[in-house]
Amino acid sequence: MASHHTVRGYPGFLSFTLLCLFMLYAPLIIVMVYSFNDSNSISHWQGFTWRWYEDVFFGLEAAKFKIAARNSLVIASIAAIASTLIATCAAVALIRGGHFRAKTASFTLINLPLMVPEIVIAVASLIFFSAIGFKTGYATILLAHIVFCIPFAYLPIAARLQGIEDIYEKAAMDLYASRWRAFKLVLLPLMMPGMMAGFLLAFIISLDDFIITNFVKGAGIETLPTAIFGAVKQGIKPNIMAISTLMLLVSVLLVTLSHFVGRIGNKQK
Amino acid sequence: MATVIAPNSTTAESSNHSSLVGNIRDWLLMPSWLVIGLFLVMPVLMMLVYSFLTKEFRGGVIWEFSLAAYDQFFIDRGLFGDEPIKIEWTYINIFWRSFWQAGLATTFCFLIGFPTAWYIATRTGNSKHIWLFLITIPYWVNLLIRTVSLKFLIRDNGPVNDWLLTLGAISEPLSIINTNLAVQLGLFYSYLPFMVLPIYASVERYNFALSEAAADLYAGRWTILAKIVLPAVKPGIIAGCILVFVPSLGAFLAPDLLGGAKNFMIGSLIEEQFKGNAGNWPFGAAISMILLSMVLVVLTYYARSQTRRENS
Amino acid sequence: MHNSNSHDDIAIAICDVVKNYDHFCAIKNISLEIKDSEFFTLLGPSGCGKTTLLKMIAGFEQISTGEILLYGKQIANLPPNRRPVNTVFQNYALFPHLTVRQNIKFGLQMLGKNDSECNRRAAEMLELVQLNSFAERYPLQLSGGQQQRVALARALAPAPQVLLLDEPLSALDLKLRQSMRTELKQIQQDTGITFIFVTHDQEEALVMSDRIVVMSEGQVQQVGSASEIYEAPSNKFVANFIGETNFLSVDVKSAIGDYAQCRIADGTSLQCSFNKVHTGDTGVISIRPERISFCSAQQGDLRGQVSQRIYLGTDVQIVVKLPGDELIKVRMQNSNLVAIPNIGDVLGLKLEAGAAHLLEH
Repeated sequence: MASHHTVRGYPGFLSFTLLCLFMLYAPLIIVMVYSFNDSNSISHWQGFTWRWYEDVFFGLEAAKFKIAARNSLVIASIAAIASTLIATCAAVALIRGGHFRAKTASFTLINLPLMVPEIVIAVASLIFFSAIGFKTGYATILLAHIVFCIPFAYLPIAARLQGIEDIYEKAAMDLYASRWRAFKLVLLPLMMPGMMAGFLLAFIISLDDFIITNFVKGAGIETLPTAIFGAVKQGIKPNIMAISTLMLLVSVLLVTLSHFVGRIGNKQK
Repeated sequence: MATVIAPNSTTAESSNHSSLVGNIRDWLLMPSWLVIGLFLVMPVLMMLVYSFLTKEFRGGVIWEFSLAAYDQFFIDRGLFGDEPIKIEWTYINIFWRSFWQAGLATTFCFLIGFPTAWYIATRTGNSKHIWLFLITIPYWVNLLIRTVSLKFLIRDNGPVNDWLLTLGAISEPLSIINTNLAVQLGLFYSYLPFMVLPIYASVERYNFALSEAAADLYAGRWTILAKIVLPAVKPGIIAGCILVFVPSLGAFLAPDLLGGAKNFMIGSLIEEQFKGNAGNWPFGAAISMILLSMVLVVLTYYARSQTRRENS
Repeated sequence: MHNSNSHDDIAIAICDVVKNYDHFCAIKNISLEIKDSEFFTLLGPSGCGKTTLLKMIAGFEQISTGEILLYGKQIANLPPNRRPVNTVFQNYALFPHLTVRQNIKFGLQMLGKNDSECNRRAAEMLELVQLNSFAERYPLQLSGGQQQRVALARALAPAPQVLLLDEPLSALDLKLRQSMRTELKQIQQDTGITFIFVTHDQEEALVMSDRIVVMSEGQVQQVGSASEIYEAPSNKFVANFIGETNFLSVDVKSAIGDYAQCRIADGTSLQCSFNKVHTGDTGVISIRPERISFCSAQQGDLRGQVSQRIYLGTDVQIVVKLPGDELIKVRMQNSNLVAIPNIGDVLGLKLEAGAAHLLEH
């Protein structure tokens, strides 16, 4: 092929990209494959089996994982809903509220959970709850999750809202809609894809969190990541690989979903 | 064209009745202020207070002012506290190792992440979306699961050693796990997508006519890369570096699961003060404060450089 | 001040309206009266305040001082959803998540009209803009011209007392824009609704409007019919903004009755029309290029040498240099019936009666 003197292509960059993808995916794929390995502990391949998945659902630790999974899902659902609502209000105020004094401060505050290292949030939350005598447990996990899910929910909602010109609300008000109806009938449907994406991301973030949950969960209550971490400390058993594979698939499913929700939204716009 | 006639005129902004938000703006902001203020800002302040209190054995604190936590961090008074004052190196060394590991991880992430981001951003049409999607997926997969996967892969009796032994490439299993190398690998693997995405966003916005203009003026492609492209996409590179460096610095999972007891980083040190039996809450709070202030210095520097860029 | 009689024939009265922003003044005291059933155009370059004025009538901008009356009723303090005026927005602002029919019904529903009335009115509007077969489509499935019609139908559906149009044709291509001009004018005449039309395109304004206000830098420059504004511009800005013209500095000798006697630099005397009583010794006159014709050097009101000839297709533009070095543009039809002067020819220039117009200061 004639060598184009293109300024876009650099020799070797494709190899780097493939290397990058290989490094990101290799461990995940190998764990997925070995979750079907018919061997008790070692990593030598000894044939295909479903039994680790059976073990996850019906084995000795099944009850523990089931409770942990339920806790994870309930917490993630509530945290995602709450943070999406809070983030939506904040996004509407910040993006449609014109210029005002506390704007930069509010913006910084909303993104603060992204700036403070996770371990510091974990320590601070534990200290705070203990100082005010709040018993650690379900409620503390939930509160901490809502806080750090807010910026993740905020980002896609704000991005979406920024892409919607304020002329639509103005047109609605010109056509005799009150502020509330202009919001409900015009702006809300238009920003819904952003809210869905925000919800899903917040959901994944809450579902995935280990460090903060580990600090504020208190004794006796486990989420999936803390249960897995506890089990891994005893050694990586094949049922852990099976459960990891399942969680991995859930994450991939949710990301794909949020990706498509965003795309549908963009087409509509 | 417009004439200045009334610089202090009262504008209609405060009572603009055509704005959707209008006078309920503060009410809309209230929930986020309340939740983050009460459950993040307050806790951090409380942590600051705790770092100046006296420890209680078995965790918790006694409400008595004390500098013991910071003293323990910086000053060595000997085993019984009666020797001449020296600098305590134990914790400074852990910080130093964390900085070194985080810096190294950032460098490696950049070296692999930049070409990747560039390659993806220069694809066209659908293939760009597919590449980008492939990079995004690991970004959202549970960090714990990714770390566990890596641990499984590289442990002494893991598949890598198994294959290498089967192939006859090695006669003894390589011990990678529980070394600094394993931690490094873990950090690199954990935060690689954080480097690719912001650089990608920068390259996307890069005006390739600049490269063409440089090529037209006799610059070779590597000169163009160094002198034209890198300065132009610098904001993305800095953002990527911060997104890798800051979480690496406070990382807990990678050093804990891959590094074992010998390769402590700040995260594990902090965790130990709260989770272990030898809990020392004021000390843990003090280490967290030191970590937080270092991170805030980095972020402030970043914010400053951003503002300068916008102003120039 | 406003007696009950005038309420019926004055649709919108703008009284001493001022709009200040933090650092500049967008509208510097404007007063205007827009008559009932009139096609009224706000014309001016971008940044002249025409859109701000329209938004103040719609309720999207608040006025700093002054009053806006709609058929005698103060509306300046009402929010946009309580003003019986509707807007056709520049980029239409059609709700992308609603169908064409739902868009058209939106205003009626907000007014609390019952379903059957909404449907009946929507059908009427679809008929009016000839989009019956597109009723169930979404705005993004329509062409620019069709979107434009939907925007018009949507704004007309609630039967507003005044319809505001904010550069509605600017997003269309030339051919479509030209056909929409006639269509808009037709709809305005059929419905009898007062239209207030904002544009920066002078041709659009001249073609459609009953009356035009020319604005610049937040001030009214002239109000009048298309021909008044074109033939008798009141000042240099208006003369220059609308169409093409020649300016000449003159000494004003006398200004009595219908004509003023003015003398140009080389001493030639010209008879000029003027709008108001002219004061002062010096002034500027405007002569439209198409109101000048050529004759032999001995005849004519002015004399000069052809210095440039520009081919424009339908027309030819000749630039003539006067003895005082002023350049005069002359436009003549590109036709084989008349001889087109060559560069270097010395010729006389004949002005039509009233072609020279003395401008106000």
